[in-house]
Amino acid sequence: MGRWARQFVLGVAVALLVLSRTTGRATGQEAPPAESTPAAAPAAEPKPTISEDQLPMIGDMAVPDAKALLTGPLRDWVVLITDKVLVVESIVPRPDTLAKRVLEIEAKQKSKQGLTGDDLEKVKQEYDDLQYLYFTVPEQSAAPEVRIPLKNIRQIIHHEDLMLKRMQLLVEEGNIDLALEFLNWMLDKVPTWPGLSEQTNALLMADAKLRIAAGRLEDALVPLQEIHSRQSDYVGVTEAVGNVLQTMSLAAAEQEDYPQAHHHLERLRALYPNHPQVTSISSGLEQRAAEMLTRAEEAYKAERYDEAPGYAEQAAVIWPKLKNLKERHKPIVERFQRLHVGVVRLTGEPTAFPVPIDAELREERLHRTPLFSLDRMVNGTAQYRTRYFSEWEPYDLGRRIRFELRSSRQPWESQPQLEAPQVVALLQAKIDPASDQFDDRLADSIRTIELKSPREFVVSFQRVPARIEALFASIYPAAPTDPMTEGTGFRLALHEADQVIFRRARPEPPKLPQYHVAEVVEHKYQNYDRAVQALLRGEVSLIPNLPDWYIRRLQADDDAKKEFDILKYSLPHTHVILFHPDSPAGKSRDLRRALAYAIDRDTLLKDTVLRDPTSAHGRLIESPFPSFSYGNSLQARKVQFDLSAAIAMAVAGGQQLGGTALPTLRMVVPPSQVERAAAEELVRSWKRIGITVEIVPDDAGPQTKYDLLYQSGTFPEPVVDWWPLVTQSSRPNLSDLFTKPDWLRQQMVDLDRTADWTLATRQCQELHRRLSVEAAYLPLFEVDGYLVIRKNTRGVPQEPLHAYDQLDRWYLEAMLPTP
Amino acid sequence: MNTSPRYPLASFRSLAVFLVLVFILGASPILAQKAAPATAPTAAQPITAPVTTPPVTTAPVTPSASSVSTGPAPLKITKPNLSKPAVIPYDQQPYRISITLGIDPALGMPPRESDRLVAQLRDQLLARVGAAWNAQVTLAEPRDPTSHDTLALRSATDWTAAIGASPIDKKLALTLDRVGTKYRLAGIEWDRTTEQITPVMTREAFDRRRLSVLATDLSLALFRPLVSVTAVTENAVELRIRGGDFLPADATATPFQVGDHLTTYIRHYDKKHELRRIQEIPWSYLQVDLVDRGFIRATQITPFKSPLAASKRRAESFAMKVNPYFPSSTVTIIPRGKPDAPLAGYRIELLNRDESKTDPVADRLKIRTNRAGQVVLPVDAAHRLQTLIVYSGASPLARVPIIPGHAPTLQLNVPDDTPRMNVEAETELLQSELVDTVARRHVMMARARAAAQKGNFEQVTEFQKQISELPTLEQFQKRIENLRLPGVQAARNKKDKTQETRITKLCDKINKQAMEHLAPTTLVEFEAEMSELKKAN
Repeated sequence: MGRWARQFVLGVAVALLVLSRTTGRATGQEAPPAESTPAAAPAAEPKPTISEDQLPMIGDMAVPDAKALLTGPLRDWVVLITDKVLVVESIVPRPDTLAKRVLEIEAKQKSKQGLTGDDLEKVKQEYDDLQYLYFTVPEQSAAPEVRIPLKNIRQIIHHEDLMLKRMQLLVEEGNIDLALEFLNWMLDKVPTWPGLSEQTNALLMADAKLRIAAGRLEDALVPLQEIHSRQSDYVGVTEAVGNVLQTMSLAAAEQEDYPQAHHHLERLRALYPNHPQVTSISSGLEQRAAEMLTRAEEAYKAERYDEAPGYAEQAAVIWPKLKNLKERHKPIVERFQRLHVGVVRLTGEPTAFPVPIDAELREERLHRTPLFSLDRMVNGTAQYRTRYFSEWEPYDLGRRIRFELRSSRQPWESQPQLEAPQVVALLQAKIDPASDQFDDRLADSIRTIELKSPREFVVSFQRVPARIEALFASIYPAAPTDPMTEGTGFRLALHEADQVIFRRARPEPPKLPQYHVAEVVEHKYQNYDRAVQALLRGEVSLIPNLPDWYIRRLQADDDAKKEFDILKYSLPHTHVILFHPDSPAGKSRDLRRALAYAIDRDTLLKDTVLRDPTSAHGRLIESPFPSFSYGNSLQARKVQFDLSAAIAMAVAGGQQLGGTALPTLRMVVPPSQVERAAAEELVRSWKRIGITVEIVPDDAGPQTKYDLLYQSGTFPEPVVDWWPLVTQSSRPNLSDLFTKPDWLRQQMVDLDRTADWTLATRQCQELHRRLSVEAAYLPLFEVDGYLVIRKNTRGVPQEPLHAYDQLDRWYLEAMLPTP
Repeated sequence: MNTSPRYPLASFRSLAVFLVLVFILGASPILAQKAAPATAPTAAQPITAPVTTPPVTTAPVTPSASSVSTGPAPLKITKPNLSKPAVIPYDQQPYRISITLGIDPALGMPPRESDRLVAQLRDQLLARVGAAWNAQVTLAEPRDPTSHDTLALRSATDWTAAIGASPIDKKLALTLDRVGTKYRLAGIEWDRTTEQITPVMTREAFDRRRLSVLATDLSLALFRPLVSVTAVTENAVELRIRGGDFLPADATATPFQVGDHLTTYIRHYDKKHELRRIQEIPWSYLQVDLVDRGFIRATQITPFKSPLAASKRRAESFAMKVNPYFPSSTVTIIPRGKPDAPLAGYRIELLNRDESKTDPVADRLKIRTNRAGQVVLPVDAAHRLQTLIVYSGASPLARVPIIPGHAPTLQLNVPDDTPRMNVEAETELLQSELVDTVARRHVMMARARAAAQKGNFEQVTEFQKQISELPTLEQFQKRIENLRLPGVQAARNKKDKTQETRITKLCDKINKQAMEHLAPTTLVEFEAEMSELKKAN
């Protein structure tokens, strides 16, 4: 039997004994009120069964353990004037039972005044009765009720008081969790118990100290702030909060995470504006910022313009409230402008995707400018621009075109300046079968190339192309031998694990009235949440391709809209599955149909890609081209979701492939979050109909074999874009069509040969119709993409074609971080 | 007009003396020649002795006699027979050949050297060829080409215009220039019968002393002997070799051997026997089976039916030996009526002999045309004559004989297969839809049966509705007819019966498949089955 149980039994025994004795005394001192009945012998009082001697002393009593207190019945301790303790069931009223009883007695005493006769007797009786407290002794089956005269009771220690005591002991032991259980119990049951508040503060402080000791400073702030909100002058809380926030602030500053340092500083200031640490930290940061800015100015004066902005930006981040910061900061950062971009993947990271995509595509667009570039879409037709030519004039019914190269370029233009011999050599390499640059289609179109002058050349066509610009849009000038003078976009200047820097190859000359973006710094973040956070904190100014749910959130945020432009790309991103010609899927139309039938594209779009039941920014498509493209045929076969048909076609596909079980298919997917998620859903859908598809891991490399390609990109020009979609080859070589049906090969060739635009459009649509029936590709959906960019960036096209569209003409207005 | 060779001074004096004597005697062949009109008979006329213009050599020339005019002609005075033209058999008619040698002035060759070279050439040709050639070897006129490059610039038309009506059958224009330290001889042969020239051939040497030998070799290599078609029976053709009766001293100079190939021409004349046009029969060759002096028997190899006939008055049939001058030939394949749309990516097979069903050829070169519809066919020294087959899909579009290397470029017109290809495309697509429909129908029927087993007839009705919405046999057949009719009509418009047949076959095939798999009876039975199940329930 446990110690507590023994004491309990003893206590009971004592209680009974005491009761019997006090009852006797009470009989002697306070006779019960006389009744009208003849005096009869007083009723015999029950014999006391508890002896006081059996009760334990208060000094011997230990605070019950946590389990007993929390889960056991409520028990109060009645401490007698002899320091003996009687343990009883919980007493009411509580707390301050004795005090309340005294008040009752006094009130009763007063109420006797003016009373006579029976009323007085009644009140007297009540008064006498109030001199006792009645208790129930637990586990005393015979006569559990006892009464003890008030004067014999020194104090009553309630169950809650014991709990507080136990809490204190637990806190002293450092058992915060259990102490919190006590706290929660008491807050739930008796939130206003005397002493609870103090004990709570003590508990919180102890908790905070433990957390501080464990190095969990941020966590320690939780209890400390709780204490502060309850009692801001609680002993030790000011010092503790100050120490914690100072430590955190300085630690952040040491790691050069100055926004974080400021954050902690502001927290401290909010809690204790006059805390000495506030001043200390502030001046430390200010000094550091001043030093940094001085370095920036020194570099600027020494014309080390690429170095200076880094220091100036750093100074602004360290202490945005530095005196005269704006005036000193502006010229430095506007002289050599750095655009900070938030991404989740950097160029060069492993990918199994065979063509440039995502980060690699961004790099390519920064680095190279083709002879003609897509400018905008007008009624579904692509319009082009060129950085190289001032004129390209057709004559002789389009059979000859005279090209005139620009003789100069703007200082901010980053493309190389070409001369006619260079372009002629480039084109000749393209039409020379012995060259590795050979372009079959171009060679078939061009008859001769004549150099007329250093700025002019004439191309004669044996076949007039429908769109010469579309044909030349895939031609890039060769890399110059001297990028510094000749320029070639933005070249890779630094590649680290968490950032990549692209720098303008040909710097802008000095003494210009307006400079432009000179450097693009891509910062890698773990995920889009962190990237958006960085955007809002001012670490980056642009995020290229946020998933749609982030975009919608930003669009719904008025504050965000004040600070950022959310620009819709002029071309939506098309998601389409292509089939490798050599794979089983490439060879079996029935298998391709099965794969198409198995996908619920609508659900995939709404639930996975957009996370938007209204799919405001996405649409289902039936071709690889934008829904507004001229190349779409209304008679194309629509992809339907039909599981029964999918199963039927899967069986048919298996038979078509020789009756053997379908092999596991490999799919390469772009290394982007949305596409990956969609691809995983596709895999699950196909699994349901018995087709196993696995996603090729990124470290397999771009040369890996695959059966399916999850392509996501823009395809603005069906006249030229059909070719890579059908052959999955970047060059339009006729040999890639040898494995295709004759009619398809002939249609593709005819399309290349057509000079008439109307006819070309019809041919594109006819191709679409036939290829849709062939299930030559699996169209999924198109998604509107958005560029989120800070408003201080100027010169950005209102409907950009991609994240860095015409980047070399953008310029940044100096902006300081929000203090 | 014959031009006398230039002789050294002593020889000239002798000649002058001779001429005086002859003049005095009044029987000067020169005078006789002068009396003749300058114009030789036009090449269009058969080689007979004209009434008014005695030929330079009218008497049959024996092989031993010098048929190359090397100097003073032997004094043989014959009286021209003015009453009836003498018909000289074709195989006894030597070639009248003008051989000119143009020497690049930059060589700085002294006249003595050049004359010696000419004389040596003349002598060597005479020695090797003999009487078959009645050749005049001279230095080129100032306006004639004197280098390889200028020679290459002249076309056949230029030569025809330059030579005009002069009485020569062939012209061998040679040039001598230098390339680096080497001497380069270049030459072409122009032929009056066909009015064509050979490509420029060259020989090179460091040693000037070898030039005459090289020039002789070059001349013989350029020379394309002619034959006249005398009889055609089925595939066998009888021909006469021009000058074939004159066997050359050098066996290597023999014009024809068994196994040689010839291309055929027809010269068409009007009523006045003036030449109207020269027609080369394309893709047709004669293969020599037998050579007997001036006689040849050959086999006709042609994709056409009887394109060749024996010579008649208004249509003379000739053939000329084929020499593969080039290492390869580029053939461009073009559909008829669409010269701007050559067949790109088409499958071509080159066989080293023709095949038949009983004698297939396994070894064949398989290539594809490029975007310009071209293929490059290499020369096969072991099998000169090849068979070229152009395929559209699995069906052959054209099958022709070809000698790669004969011409640098050739153009082959084939039937325009577009209507059949379109129909083939659409039938393939129809077939995929048919498979789709059949598969879906089966699945829905199976599911309907399963639902019926479970008593879920609402679902059965839903499946029945879905089945009814699938394309029916009638719809498929209508689409097939919509394909067949325009396709057949297009083929008929092109007068292409083969294509018409193929289109019909394609449509019949898909129709048969549709009837087999979409038979209405299946549906009727299914509906009946479902009705029974519903009633039973």
